[in-house]
Amino acid sequence: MIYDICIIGAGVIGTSIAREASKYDFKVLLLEKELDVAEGISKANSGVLHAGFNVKTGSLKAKFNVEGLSFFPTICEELDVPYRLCKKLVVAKDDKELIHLEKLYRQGIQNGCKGLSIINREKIKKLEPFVEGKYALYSRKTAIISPYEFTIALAENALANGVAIFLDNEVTGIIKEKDNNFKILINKGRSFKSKIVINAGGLFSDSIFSLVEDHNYNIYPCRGEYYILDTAASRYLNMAVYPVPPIGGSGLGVHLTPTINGNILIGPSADYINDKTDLSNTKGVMDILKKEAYDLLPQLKNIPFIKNYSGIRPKLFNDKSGISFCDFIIEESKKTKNFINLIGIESPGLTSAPAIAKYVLENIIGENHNLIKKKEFKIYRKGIKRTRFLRKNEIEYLYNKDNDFGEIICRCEQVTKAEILKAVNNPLKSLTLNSIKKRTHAMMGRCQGGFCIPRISQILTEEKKIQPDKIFKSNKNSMVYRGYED
Amino acid sequence: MKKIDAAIIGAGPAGMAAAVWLKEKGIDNFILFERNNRLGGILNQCIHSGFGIDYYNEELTGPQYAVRMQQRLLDLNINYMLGANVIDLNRNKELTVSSSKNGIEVYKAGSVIITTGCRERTRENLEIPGTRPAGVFTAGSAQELINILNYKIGNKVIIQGSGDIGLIMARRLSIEGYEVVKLFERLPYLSGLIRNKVQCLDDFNIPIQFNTQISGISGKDRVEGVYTKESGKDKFYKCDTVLFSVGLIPEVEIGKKAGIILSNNFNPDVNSKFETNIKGIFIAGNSLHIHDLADNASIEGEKVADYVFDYLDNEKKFRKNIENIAPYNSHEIDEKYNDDFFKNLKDGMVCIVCPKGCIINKNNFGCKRGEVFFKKEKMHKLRRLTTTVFCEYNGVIKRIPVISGEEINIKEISKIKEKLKNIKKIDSKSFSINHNKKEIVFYTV
Repeated sequence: MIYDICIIGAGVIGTSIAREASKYDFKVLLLEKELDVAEGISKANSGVLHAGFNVKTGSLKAKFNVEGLSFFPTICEELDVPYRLCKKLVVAKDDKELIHLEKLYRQGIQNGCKGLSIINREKIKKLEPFVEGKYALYSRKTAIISPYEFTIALAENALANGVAIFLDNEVTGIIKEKDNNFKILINKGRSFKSKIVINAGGLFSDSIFSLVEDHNYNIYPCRGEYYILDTAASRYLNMAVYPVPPIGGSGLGVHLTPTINGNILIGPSADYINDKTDLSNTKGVMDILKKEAYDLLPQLKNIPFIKNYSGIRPKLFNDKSGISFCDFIIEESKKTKNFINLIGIESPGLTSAPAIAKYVLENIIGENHNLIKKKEFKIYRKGIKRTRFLRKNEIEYLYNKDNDFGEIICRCEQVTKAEILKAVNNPLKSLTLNSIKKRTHAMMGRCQGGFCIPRISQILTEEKKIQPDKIFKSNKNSMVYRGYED
Repeated sequence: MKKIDAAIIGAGPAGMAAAVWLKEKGIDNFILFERNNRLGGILNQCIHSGFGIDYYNEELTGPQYAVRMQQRLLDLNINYMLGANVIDLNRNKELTVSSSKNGIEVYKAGSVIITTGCRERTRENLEIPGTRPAGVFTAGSAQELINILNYKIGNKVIIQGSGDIGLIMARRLSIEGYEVVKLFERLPYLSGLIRNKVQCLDDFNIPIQFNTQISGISGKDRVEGVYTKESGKDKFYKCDTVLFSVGLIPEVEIGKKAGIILSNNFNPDVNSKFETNIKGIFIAGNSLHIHDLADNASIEGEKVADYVFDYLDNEKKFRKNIENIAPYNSHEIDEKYNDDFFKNLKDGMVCIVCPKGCIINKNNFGCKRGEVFFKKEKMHKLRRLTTTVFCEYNGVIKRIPVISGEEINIKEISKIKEKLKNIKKIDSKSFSINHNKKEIVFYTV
């Protein structure tokens, strides 16, 4: 079988393109090396849908950011993904920083952002009584989603529309054959054939491209560390609150972001590291994060921590000159026809994803291929109902159909057995503890799974008829239970 | 909406004792809600002995203690509901209960006793840097996984924290054949009971290192080791599993929904009659403050049941003589059990007969039982063995907690453990194995 389109990498970009491609009459394949989708950059970021004032006018980032943002309310509704228009403040401490706010404001207007204004201390206090600042850029269009829930939803909808999704399939080689098709080699010795290959390899998009040709793109991992605060913090904060971005820095500065789940994130830091898989948290950075967050919102000092995590930005540099590209690379390779690269998709990659996907289909693939819309495209996808956010009568309604909605497994996040079972039997067939966590929020609360991991493990072994040593935390080597070897 | 006089949330040692006492006082119309599918709470996974010395005047294992209370509950015909999570509570003492049996139910209670116990502090609470691999457990989780679910959690273990659960788990893991490399304690002194250091660490030659906290966790997928800072330098210890036993936090999330006030973010504020800022909502046991012994949680549960009876009987009278001070002393750790103390023990030994932990020597045995212990201990280390047997019991194959009827030389434990592996079925409260031409009797609950 020859696929029309093979997408490498099931992050938010790969899955967005997969869903977009599944609207047309193509045979689509999505390959992912990890045991679930959204296991790289798309798992660990702030989850902010940016308005688009932070990016340079005229860049692809600006174009796709502003366009992408406008798609979200509809897509989230179609895919049953929680979306919250939380709004955002970029806070200036003094008059000097006000100049930067004005610059951002102008840039935003030029980029076509809506809902921007600069406000003074009184207005800040009105909007966010606990936030300290003299002026702020107020963005009414900034929103939040859960980036991994969004990615999962895209993948599930793509799957329902006929996309073949293979997890745990790492691409090790790509050969352009005489018939002009690509042969994609997989670590397990198998291979696939496709007419078009789309490189959405995220942090590894440079190495994926190297499998096809020599190039100057080089992804440098830039790690961002985070703290997640207890939901008790949400009483002090409604919006995302950012400082004025550090000049010459690699990120937007340590900020406070509410999450869909009701927690507050502190972070991210920005540090270039050598290893694309090093998701450590470091003492020095953790101390800085706390200090900067407490400067923005002193009340947070009393809030307990839930956990730390890190994500990695795929910073794109020219290998020879060492200069940053500063923009997304979204194009067909000039040398290798039908090989489409998406390299350096860092922030605002999440916000841009829907617009990028549309562009890849309509403007790159559509250039040389006929785009025939499928008649039977399923627009809607249903997520797992979270009883925690339902009213009593809604839970009763669910319970009457399925008694497992009455049995609570994760007490901290109020996740029922029905929700866990739906996650265990997810359509992508991802079977790790993290895949259950990402789909239900079980294990994400105050006890961090202390009470529910034993019960979830038990459900997993019973439902899937597997032994405990086949339970993984996230990837193939992360056995939760060891000692079965001898 | 069903009306009840009292709702007790949580059937652990405090909740069950409160239920028994309330019933004995003559209150009938109340329900004991338990989220798990059996009574007893955490007692069920605490298969070691050391329970009941104060409350029952007899040393029992956790499951034995639970069963004894459960029996009392049944004898008194107390209403209880298993698999029932109280998911909401408001100021009017209306409880929303979720269960797979009845779905969502709402009760209006005249009074509420919160006995929801506690949760463990996590690695995340300590903000320990490093990676986040599989193989990091809290000690209590590990206890449930091993003692109840029959899972193996690793091979080579490092434990952080010398609280009682950490110490108990060090022994438990050793008995189960794990290699316990070391136990670290951040403080310069022991935080659990001294008798537990003797019978859990010393008996199994597990070293304890004070003034040490894990400063980093290493391993991308599964734990590969931990870092500590020792005299300013990074030191690496290889292991594939890390257990954290670094303190307990009262779990009163349900009380918080009703609006109860917590001081310092963790401990609920109560008046001298265990009542919270919301009239008619009371708290007892580990959800109020952390107790060193389950017995004390039960005793507190009874005390609170007394006050709840008064409250229901005549609130005006109940309101008299209430003070705004906590009705308990928080458990304070004896700071004397540090490195110097253990070095200076030499001829003396710690008596482990009761939780007091007297230091005894040939001139001073502390008490009669201490004398017996001293003389025996000089010859052999004899202990009653608590462990589990995986076999058929009442028609179900599961882990059964067992305790040996007599004391066993600790050198024989691994051989006896092997013999216990051969047991396929237990069909009464006791069974015996043959060891060194002798019958050793084991009891279940």
